[in-house]
Amino acid sequence: MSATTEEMTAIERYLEAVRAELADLPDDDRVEMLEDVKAHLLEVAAEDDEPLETRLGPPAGYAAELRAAAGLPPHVPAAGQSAGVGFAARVTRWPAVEALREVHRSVRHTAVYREVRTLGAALQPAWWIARAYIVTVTIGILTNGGGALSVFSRSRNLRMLGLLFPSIASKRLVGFVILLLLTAASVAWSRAAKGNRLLTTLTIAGNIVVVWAALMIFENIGGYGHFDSFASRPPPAIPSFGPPHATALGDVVNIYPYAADGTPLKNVLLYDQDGNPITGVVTDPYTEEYGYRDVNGQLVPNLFPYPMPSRDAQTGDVVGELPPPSIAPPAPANAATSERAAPKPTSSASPSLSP
Amino acid sequence: MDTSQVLKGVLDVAVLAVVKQSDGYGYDVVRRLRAAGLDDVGDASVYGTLRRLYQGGNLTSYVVPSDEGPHRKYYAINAAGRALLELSSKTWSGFADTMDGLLQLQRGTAA
Repeated sequence: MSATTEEMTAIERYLEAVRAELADLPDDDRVEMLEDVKAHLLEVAAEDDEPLETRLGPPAGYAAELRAAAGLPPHVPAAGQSAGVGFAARVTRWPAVEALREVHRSVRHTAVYREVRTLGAALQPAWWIARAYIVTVTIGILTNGGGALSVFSRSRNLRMLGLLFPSIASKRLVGFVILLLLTAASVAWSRAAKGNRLLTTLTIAGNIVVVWAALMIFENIGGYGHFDSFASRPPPAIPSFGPPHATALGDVVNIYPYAADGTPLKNVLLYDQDGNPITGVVTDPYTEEYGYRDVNGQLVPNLFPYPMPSRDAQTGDVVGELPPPSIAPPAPANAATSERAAPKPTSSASPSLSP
Repeated sequence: MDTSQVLKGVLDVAVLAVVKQSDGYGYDVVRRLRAAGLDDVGDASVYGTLRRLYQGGNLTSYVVPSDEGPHRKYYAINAAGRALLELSSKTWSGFADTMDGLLQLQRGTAA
């Protein structure tokens, strides 16, 4: 029955592993059972030189067999080991969660449910990438400080590319690298969370936040008019000088007032019916501030027409100013017919390219 | 046929029978069960069964001091244990007879 030091170490190690598997039992039970186990291990070790694991199998299996034979329930990790598991267990008992589970029970065997489930499983990887994208865009909005569209477009030559590579801290490369990293992290996370209740609970909570962020982003983009129209505008026609700001004018980016005789008017202040200034979507091309400065250096958002910088097609640098759109001379006021009550710019009224 | 499955159901009877022969400590019971031909019996299963029978009041236990190594916890059968063993023996005999009959019947049909 005597055991060498080496054997004692092996016994202690085995005993420790069994102890962990009995950790959830009441103190009395556990102490007594471990005494028995220790005595058993000493007997086995004294018998021959065979390692305990070979002779008795792994400690976890030994403990499971011992518990089953002793009429005790299988080992479940104690709630104290992880607060998250306890929380997950509590969440599953919420009435709302119970109700959802009841609904799930009633539909789980239907063919439609199986189809949806299969489809969902197939689309899961797409969601892993999508949420990384959404998080990247969210970071971009927070760091750029220029609203959702600033993330997608800084340079008009790369407008479509801007959708693929959201910019962060106004840097497209940074955004691209972060998008790659987040995608990898997103996929790795979901693989790790598979079968882990705590991580799965966290994932669901995180996904809800991500979906909320996505809705906020679309809301934000919606405030600037339609995303499609923004992306499909011909580059030369839109003066692009940085992040557009909130507008009362929708797609109108500038206003060119003309007198009745066709004379272009300058420095016209526009107000709506309530006396609120009407502002365009553009910012001062030189300072990128909202509105632009009048002759006194005062920032005036409703002073029209805004100066329209003409940019070099290759570099995007400001090389001059766009002239006002050329319009056909209006008809004399007394010649107004029922068809045309007021002079209107012709189809050539859009800003034209500078040579 | 996997005897370990059958063993699960009859280990109580086997352990009671062994301890009835003479008092024994855990590993001693394991050895005697093996010697009797129950090669597949798991050590932990025997220790667990002894503990359950003891807690169920079918066995008593006493500690025998040992000069070398730890004290040994011996188990002895008591009245309740004997009654349980008798009842279980009858159940087993009836069950074994039934199985024998079934298997002989099958053997006869096959022949």
